[in-house]
Amino acid sequence: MDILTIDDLSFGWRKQPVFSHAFLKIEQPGLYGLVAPNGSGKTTLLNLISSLLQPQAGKISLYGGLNTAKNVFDHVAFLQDNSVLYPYLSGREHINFVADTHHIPRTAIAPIADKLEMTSYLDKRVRHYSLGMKQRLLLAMALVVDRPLMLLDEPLNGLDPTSLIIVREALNQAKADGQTALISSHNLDELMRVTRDIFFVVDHALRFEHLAADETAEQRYAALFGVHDK
Amino acid sequence: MRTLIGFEWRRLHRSGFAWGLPVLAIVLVGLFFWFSQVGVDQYRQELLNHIQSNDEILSQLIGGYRQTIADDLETADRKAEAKKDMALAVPIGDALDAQQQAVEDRSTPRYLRAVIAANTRTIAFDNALHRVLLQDHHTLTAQTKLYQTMLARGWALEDTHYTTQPVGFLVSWQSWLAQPLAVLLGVALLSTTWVTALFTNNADLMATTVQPWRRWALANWFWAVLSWLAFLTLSNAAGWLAGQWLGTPLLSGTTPWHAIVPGTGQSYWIVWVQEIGISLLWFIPMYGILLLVTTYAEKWGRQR
Amino acid sequence: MRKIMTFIRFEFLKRRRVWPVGIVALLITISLAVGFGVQKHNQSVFVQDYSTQLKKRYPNENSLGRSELTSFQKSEAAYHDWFFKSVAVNVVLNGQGTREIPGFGVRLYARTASGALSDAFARTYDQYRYMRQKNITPMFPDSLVIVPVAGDLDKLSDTDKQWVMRNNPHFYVQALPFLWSLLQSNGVVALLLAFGVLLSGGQLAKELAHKRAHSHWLTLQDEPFPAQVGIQFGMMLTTMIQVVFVPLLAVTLGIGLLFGFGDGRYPVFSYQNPDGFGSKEAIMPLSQYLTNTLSLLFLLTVFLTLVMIILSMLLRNGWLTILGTILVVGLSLITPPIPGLPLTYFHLNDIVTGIAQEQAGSDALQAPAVFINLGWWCVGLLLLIILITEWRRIVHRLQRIHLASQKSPASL
Ligand SMILES: Nc1ncnc2c1ncn2[C@@H]1O[C@H](COP(=O)(O)OP(=O)(O)O)[C@@H](O)[C@H]1O
Ligand SMILES: [Mg+2]
Repeated sequence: MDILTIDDLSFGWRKQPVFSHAFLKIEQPGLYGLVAPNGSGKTTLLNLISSLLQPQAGKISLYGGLNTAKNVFDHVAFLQDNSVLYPYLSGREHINFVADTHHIPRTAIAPIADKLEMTSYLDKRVRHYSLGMKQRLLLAMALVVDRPLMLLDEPLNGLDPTSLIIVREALNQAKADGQTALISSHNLDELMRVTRDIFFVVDHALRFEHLAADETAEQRYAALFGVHDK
Repeated sequence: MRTLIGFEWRRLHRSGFAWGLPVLAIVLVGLFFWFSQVGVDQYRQELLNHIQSNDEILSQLIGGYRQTIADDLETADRKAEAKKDMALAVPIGDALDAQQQAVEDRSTPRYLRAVIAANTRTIAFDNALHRVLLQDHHTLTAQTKLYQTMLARGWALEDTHYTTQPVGFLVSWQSWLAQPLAVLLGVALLSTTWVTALFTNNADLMATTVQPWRRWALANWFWAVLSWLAFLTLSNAAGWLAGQWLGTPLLSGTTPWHAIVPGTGQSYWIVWVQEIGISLLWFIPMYGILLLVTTYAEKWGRQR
Repeated sequence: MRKIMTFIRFEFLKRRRVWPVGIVALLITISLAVGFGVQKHNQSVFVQDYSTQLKKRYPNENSLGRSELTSFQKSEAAYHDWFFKSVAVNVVLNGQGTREIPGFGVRLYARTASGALSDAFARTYDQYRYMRQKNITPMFPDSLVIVPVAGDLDKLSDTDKQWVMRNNPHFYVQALPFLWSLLQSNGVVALLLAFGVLLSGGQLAKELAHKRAHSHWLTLQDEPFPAQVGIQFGMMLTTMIQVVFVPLLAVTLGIGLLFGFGDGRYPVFSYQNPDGFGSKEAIMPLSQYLTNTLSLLFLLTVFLTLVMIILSMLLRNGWLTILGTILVVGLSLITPPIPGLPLTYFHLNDIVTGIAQEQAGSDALQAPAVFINLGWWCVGLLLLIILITEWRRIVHRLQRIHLASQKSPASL
């Protein structure tokens, strides 16, 4: 049973096409990257997979079923960008709510918070968080629900070197546990330290590449998207 | 400063205010015009009711006199007096009938003349009886004097609250816009871009790029006052057009700009200009206070 | 079920962080209680003033006018009695005009043209007979029941109007009457609703801001959009009830326990059209008045909540949603009685007493018709909300059908 398949997907906003006849297939658990420049549709793709947006044509399946709201809820944890956080609530209140809706005991929260080293600020209002603190909170919210497939939208954004190491370890742990993660980033360099299985958004379509060990990120990126000298 | 003013304009423009404001002005004026039309119709009905209730009292009186005259048991003296009183009361009734007819035929001059006639006859009647029976004389004389002036100048009779004639309509519309509560709503509305920018990440951008902070507030103030002026202009223009095209007099005739607003002793023109001035005089400081309060609120919230 | 409770608890958590609704409700209750205190204070000031006025007017022990002063000083019951007799004499004299007969009421007859207040006298007389029959204690001090819309004041000069109104005050110093006095004022009702809107109007709009960020996130937590709208509707309505109804009822209960509830059968002026042959003046028991008014207020609250939801979905800006809804409430204050227009219905007193119906000359403004009409408006708004909620799905369906029909010839 495939984890995720995208079949002949087409989607566009009123003024511009984003995807036309895109295909994607993930069969094995593991970490996968999703790379493209800003504004080329990474967030849109993740929204389509989680059925927050409806494609104009095409089919998206998860674990053998269509991506209905129920199927998404049962199988997917989605790390969105930090505009979903309520500035006037604390981090713990967010995680508690997510755990409650997914019927996860709240005792599962403490180990995750420990692992991400966020226990000290978990009870502060999000308004007072830095960008990196928000990123880690969002990751904790995705990890706590314990779903087999994680969609992570730019999880590495705004992280300092120590935080990067923490997050990378958490992701590797997830991989070891047999989970799957689709991780988007506009920064190939950083992503390549996490995984070398990467989907690129090129010309409104999706292209899979397994990057060889000797390839550098810059080379691939330049080859795919061109380098803007001027 | 000029770049800031340009920036604030683009923000205002992009947020949809450039078309939202005219639409709001037209919708509100349209609503108020509709209300005024209904109000004018109801006032006409009120005039008729008023005439009728006066007529009822008078009929009762006249009926009493008739009885006295027909009653065999009454003395000749009393009968003669009743006849005399009745002769004075009947013309009042005629004048009331003329009023009713004038309202139904929609004629201002005839209505004014009939009211003046009724008033003078009522006073004469009361004087003959040596007591105030029907209506307070001060009110009657004041009204008679006003109506005589209107008749002489050829001004139309209108309700002071609701009228759909351009001049009167603009004055009542503008006097609503001079109410502190209406201005407060306007301030709140026009400060939308400011408030949303201040309490989101935009503020950080502005805090770092604009020095001093005061300038941003000033630029915003400038545009808010201009927008309020634009709102006043647009809504008054819309009101003027509505009055020209769809306005109907209460009875007949038109009210010119130099006519006197009843109860003020000032012309419509002066009152209108005054109300515009009052509206602006409220708006400018109120918006300034809002800028100050929100700025401090934001600073305070940031430090918490 | 457990999940819905989780969602609702989360909404309450959010609301608690944004607005201290309980404290606001408490402050409103306190202001209303202060209003009651002012009313009670005014009553005692008036009684004091009137007493000196009477003494000045009738200094002589034997003068006829002493009868009012005597009863006034004796007891409230004695004064009620004197007042009723005075009004009765006057109504009997009707047609020949009322005069200032010595001994009958300094503030009732002095200065006004005779006959000018005959309607008010007749109405007051009717109400007092009704109260005598049912053993209801009138308000103290007794005053004429003056209804300006019935043309009671038309025959008076402006100064006399003011004089008559000032001298015929009603002091609502028990619980139910005080609630009556609050609901009579369009301003008080509008202010309460405006506070409710201020505290509840922004939330849904904020969830929908930034490309529906919060709303999408909640969808991922298994709270589909229609459920979100439903829960937000419940939250807004709860907040409105907490801000509008809880203070009204709390202050009524408090005053009732301290100063008595008053009589639910107390006569309220109204126009009624029992046999369909035109409306005429009638008496409505206070309890019926309050039930009708509060029910209408509740329906209006539902209406406003629906308006807020629609504005939230269209504007996606909390601030603008609040302003738009407050504008609706504000406009209602200057709306003349127009049948079918909900803005008119905010004039609770005029609707329930039939005054609006009388003014507009339209049976569509009778209270039962208004309830039905407002009900239909709410249903209409609800349908509109459903349409907007399902809009995306509908558009998506159409798009797919459109694309499929475009593609099919090519694939042949
Ligand atoms: N709500 C929207 N309406 C119209 N266009 C949108 C909307 N959201 C995103 N877009 C456009 O879709 C494109 C893809 O956006 P997005 O998926 O957010 O890019 P990425 O996440 O790769 O940076 C962008 O060009 C953006 O302008
Ligand atoms: Mg993105």
